[in-house]
Amino acid sequence: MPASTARPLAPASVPLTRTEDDATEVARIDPRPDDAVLVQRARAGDRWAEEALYRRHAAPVSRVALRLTGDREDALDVLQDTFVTALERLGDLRDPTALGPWLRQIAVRHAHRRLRRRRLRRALGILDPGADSACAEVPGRAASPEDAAELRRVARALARAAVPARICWILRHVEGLTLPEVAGACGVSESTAKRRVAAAQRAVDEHLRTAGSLGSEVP
Amino acid sequence: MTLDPQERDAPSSGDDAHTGIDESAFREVWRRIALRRDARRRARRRLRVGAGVGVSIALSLALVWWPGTAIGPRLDMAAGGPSAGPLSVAHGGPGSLARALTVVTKAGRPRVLGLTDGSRVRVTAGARVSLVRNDDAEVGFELARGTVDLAVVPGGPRRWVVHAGHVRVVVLGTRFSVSRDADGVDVAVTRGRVAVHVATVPGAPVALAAGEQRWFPVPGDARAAAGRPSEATGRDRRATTASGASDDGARSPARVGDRQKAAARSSGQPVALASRASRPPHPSAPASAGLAAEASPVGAESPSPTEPAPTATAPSPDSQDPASRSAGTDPDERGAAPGVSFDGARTLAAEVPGGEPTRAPPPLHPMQVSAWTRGYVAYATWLGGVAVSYRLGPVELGALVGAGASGSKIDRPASGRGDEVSQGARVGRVRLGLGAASARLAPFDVPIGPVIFRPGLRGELGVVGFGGVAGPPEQVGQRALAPYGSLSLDLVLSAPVGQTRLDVGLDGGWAFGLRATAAEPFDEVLGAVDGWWVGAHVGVRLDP
Repeated sequence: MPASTARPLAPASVPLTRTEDDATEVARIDPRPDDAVLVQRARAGDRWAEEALYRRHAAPVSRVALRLTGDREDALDVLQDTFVTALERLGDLRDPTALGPWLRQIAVRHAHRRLRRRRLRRALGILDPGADSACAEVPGRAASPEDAAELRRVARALARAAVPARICWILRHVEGLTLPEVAGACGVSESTAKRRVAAAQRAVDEHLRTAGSLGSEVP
Repeated sequence: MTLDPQERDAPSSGDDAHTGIDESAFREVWRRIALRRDARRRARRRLRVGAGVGVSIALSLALVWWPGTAIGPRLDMAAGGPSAGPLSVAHGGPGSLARALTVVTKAGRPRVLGLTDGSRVRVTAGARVSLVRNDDAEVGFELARGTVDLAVVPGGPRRWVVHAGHVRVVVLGTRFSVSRDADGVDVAVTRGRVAVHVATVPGAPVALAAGEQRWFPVPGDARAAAGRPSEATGRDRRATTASGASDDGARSPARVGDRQKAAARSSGQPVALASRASRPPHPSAPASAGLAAEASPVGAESPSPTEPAPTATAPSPDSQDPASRSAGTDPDERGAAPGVSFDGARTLAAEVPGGEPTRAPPPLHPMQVSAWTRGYVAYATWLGGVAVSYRLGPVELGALVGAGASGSKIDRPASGRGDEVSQGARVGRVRLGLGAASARLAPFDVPIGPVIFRPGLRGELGVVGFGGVAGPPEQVGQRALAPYGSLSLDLVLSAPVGQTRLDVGLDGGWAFGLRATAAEPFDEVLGAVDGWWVGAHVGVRLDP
């Protein structure tokens, strides 16, 4: 659809196929329906609303997935699994305005599963040990080489931590979530989330200390 | 409908620099999400349809198999067949009928015995009935007291006879009840026709049609010899009426009037107690050609309820056979008589003539060799092979091997990984070395003429190995193992062919398992395998 003929997103009360006669009505249409509206429409089987939800939340979900898995392709798979699950279970979402945290929780679960599988493969000797490094691709293109190198060191350190602890640590220190948000994303209590973050932090500190790195500077 | 560019570009454009995931990747992921969801919808639809079909089949089979239905009780026909050897209790094995009758008589509780030819014997509480003959020509019962109801499958090769003192009831396919007490014998026919031989009444047997009931009094001298003229009458009459009332609502518990009995005793003639000849016979009642030879033309007429039944002119030769030895004797005395004991199945089975099978049918070999083929719908895969199974009662244990080919449709996502969905590039593969162990539960057989319908449920555990021979480069040479389990419904028609039995079956079910890739690429080490499959098989059960 060319940009010149683009129409704003339609709310639930407006039919998707409109004619020129609807032009006056289009003027008072909310151009950006919120998640709750889109969720309601997606629940009703509106494929357009489903795609809109995906477009709106694909980036944050993929970012979390990339930070947790450290691999671009795994992140895309997690993104795919997340939205397949979410769209199938959209009816289970009690608060449609909380779609973002709900998607993040699903993404964390899928990433956790993928990391476990990766660890199994590594244990079976069919995966390069170096490939299992969370945060390996986290540094953006704008990051300096020094920062990127440090982050890769952190990633290698995190690879030594248990998968649940690693996830909590990344959500807390890389993604910048609060402890309640980390607990909600991981589906655990706050105390458990705090304990896991601390365990991963100990592993990182230990690894960086033995490697002679500046562990205290790691966020 | 697609999104407008403003909405489409909004989420991804700002994050590309950080995640390295560009718009094309997001678009590809969304396409794959749509494919997977469509595939899941189709799978759920197939599951619902399959579940509906499965439930319908299960309900139909349960309805057919349920005792009391037309073909329900016909169990274990494959083991014996209607024309092979003595009858036994379903699943009871040789000699079980005599043992069961002994146990039932001793326990004094009502009991229905389903026999291997589908017939049923209902013994009322307190009845004493024993087996006097059981072979491929005749099944004979001796009723000393109480009521026995028989539902005989029409068209069978055996003659069914009930000896009740001076009365002998012969039938070739019907449903009837015989009750005996100290005063006489009550015969009620629910379906078909029976011939009643009365030892004390000379002439041809009396024929009773569906709906007729007649009472045959014990002759006065015989009753005197029995020494128990009346004290047991009330008790036994209660036992007599219990089964009949449940068998046919038209039969009143107070079906025998004292005045009628008294008149009959004084005349020594049978008396018709209730004539329901106007009611049409059961559709399944046979013409009973054998019965025509047993019944006299006069006796076939339905007598008036108040008139004595017509009698024949020539004495029946059967009235002198050993079965009439107990005519006129007291039931208790007869029960304690030497040679016939009700105290143990072993004693009875050993001492009752014909109680044990004298000629067992040639059993079919429990082992079967079959050729099978099946197709996995979701994976466009077709396999074939051979299987060997061994039958242990209702369970058949088997092993199968095979090979096949597939034209799997593989969709290549942005990550380059194969994910088998219903749309995408076709990739040819050759699958080799399927091996599985199976257990098939076939709890009942339903005879349809000479053919036996054997529905069953099969569980299977196996491993299939496969390798790619065509398609994208990463698929060629890929080897994988897929341990799987399967649950399926198996519908088999088994027909005798000479001394063997040919089984032709259709089966289908749900397979599920894992796929473990054994070569590069390793990115799908543990993938899920699940989907419907349908198949067919032809097997031969060997002659031992």
